[in-house]
Amino acid sequence: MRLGAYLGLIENCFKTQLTYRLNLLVETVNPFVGLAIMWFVWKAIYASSPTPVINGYAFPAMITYAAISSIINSYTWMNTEFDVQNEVKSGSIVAILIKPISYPIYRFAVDTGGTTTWLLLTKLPIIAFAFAVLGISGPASPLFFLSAFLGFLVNYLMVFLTALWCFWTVGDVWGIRFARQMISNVVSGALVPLTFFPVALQNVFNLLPFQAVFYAPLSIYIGTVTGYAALAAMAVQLAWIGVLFVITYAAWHFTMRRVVVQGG
Amino acid sequence: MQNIIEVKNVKKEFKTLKKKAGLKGSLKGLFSREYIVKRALKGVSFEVKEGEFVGMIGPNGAGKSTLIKVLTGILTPSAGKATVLGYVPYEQRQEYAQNMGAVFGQRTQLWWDLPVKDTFDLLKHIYQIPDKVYRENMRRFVDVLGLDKYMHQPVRKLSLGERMRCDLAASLLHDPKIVFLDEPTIGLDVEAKFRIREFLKERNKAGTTVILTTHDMGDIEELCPRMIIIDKGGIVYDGLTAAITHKISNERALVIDFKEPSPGKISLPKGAKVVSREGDHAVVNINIRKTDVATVISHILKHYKVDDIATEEPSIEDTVRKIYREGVR
Repeated sequence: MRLGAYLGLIENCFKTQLTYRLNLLVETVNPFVGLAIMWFVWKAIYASSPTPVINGYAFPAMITYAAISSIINSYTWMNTEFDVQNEVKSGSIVAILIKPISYPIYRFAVDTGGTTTWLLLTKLPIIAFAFAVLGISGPASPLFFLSAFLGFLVNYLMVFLTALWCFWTVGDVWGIRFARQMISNVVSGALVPLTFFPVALQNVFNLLPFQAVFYAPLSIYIGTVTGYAALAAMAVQLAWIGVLFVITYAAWHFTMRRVVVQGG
Repeated sequence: MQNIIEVKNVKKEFKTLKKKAGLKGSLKGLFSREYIVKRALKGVSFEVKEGEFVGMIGPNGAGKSTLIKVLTGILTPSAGKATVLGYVPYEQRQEYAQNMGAVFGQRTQLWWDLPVKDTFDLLKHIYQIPDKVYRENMRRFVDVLGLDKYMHQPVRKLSLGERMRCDLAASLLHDPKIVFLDEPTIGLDVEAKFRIREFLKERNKAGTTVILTTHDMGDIEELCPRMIIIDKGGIVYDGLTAAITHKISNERALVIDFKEPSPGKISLPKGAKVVSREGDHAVVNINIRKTDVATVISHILKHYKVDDIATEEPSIEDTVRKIYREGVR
């Protein structure tokens, strides 16, 4: 491992994003709009509900859930598929493949660099706003941070797997990317807690890796999952990391043997 | 000298989707797909010794770039085997990359939005270049290539020639034993070309093996003692650049100045013919398969009064064009 090289890549990514200031401004404002919509929707739903607690969530807990979900969303929203597609189509991937670095780790470094920059530069205002103005509560357990990190890794492995598709098709990845995003939004608990779904569906969703990205850390944050149950949830996250890592590793090596770089 | 590259019977086939014309064709393509197999390399074999400077040429689509991609580890061949520096490039990509440099002229490996200097700093980390080597190389490269003026400019603001010089420096910063240059002089002005050629000469003298593809015969004549011509997926010539006309071309030209008064019609032996005539001057083409230069000259001297007579070989460029057009016979 050439740690210095990957850290350098992250740093470059950071610098690159700083050169596009308007982008940063728009991205800072965006989550306010999203969160405002969620606030009004939940306000209306709770106002028309006969009980103050819906599926185990009171209104303040629900707003906390929505705010933290929006933050998780900001660092799991990756453009990896498009970036890989561009690199493959334009052939610029060649510049990476001729260097003594691993492409998957390079991608991971760049994408992590990107989302970290995003988080630091554009999401701090919304986080401050959520705590100061909406009055959301802090995490019920510090385990949340570890769980959120594990969720980040699970998400990244899934993103990279769909991105690998670019090597096999010369067409667009829009379809597969949005399919992943849409499925994830529903079954991961990003939009509404999984307890809102019928039990049969919940059982299915719990078998998928998506819940490990959103629902597991969110439940630990809110405090609906605590103690051993929290540790068990994190064990499931770790298991998913293991399984997805093996699949990704195999898929990457298989792809490399077949890859056809365009152009030239 | 040891072999640094060994290529044995390397083949590469691509399967591409056959696109049918028109909307109807596109719709049909959704349901039934036909593939075309394109054979980009049809069994290529050659060797390169340490320290050589080899020029690789061939018409567009001949398979040069495919071969370079196999040798740089980006493509896995369908059959055959290639080893460079003892590595199988496409199997030991990362270990191999540490000792190899490459420039693909039509795209950059610099970071588009960042100043050139930042890319170099990053490469220092990627290749784990010791401080001393890095400083020394930077100093020399900046000097020979004339990079100092734009070290702090973002890459996207550089002209093609400036960018290419930076790309070249980037590919050699880690002192690779071998470097592959795929059309590094494409679209460059005279000054940029000059700088790049000087730089490559210097690096080759310092011991780096260079494999260069180009469409510029000037590059080949000035830099490459050895030339490999690739056409239709195979090697059609592999040998000394200087010897190619002798080996390939069946034609020589004689430039004759006749003494006054110049003759009317010139009679020549079979296999020779006048291709242009202007007063006292005539250019005669000789097909050396049918006759030889000496016979034609003595024939002319015997029958006409001559001031001066000179033989000319076709230029390398002419010979190469002839190969592209007619193949090797």
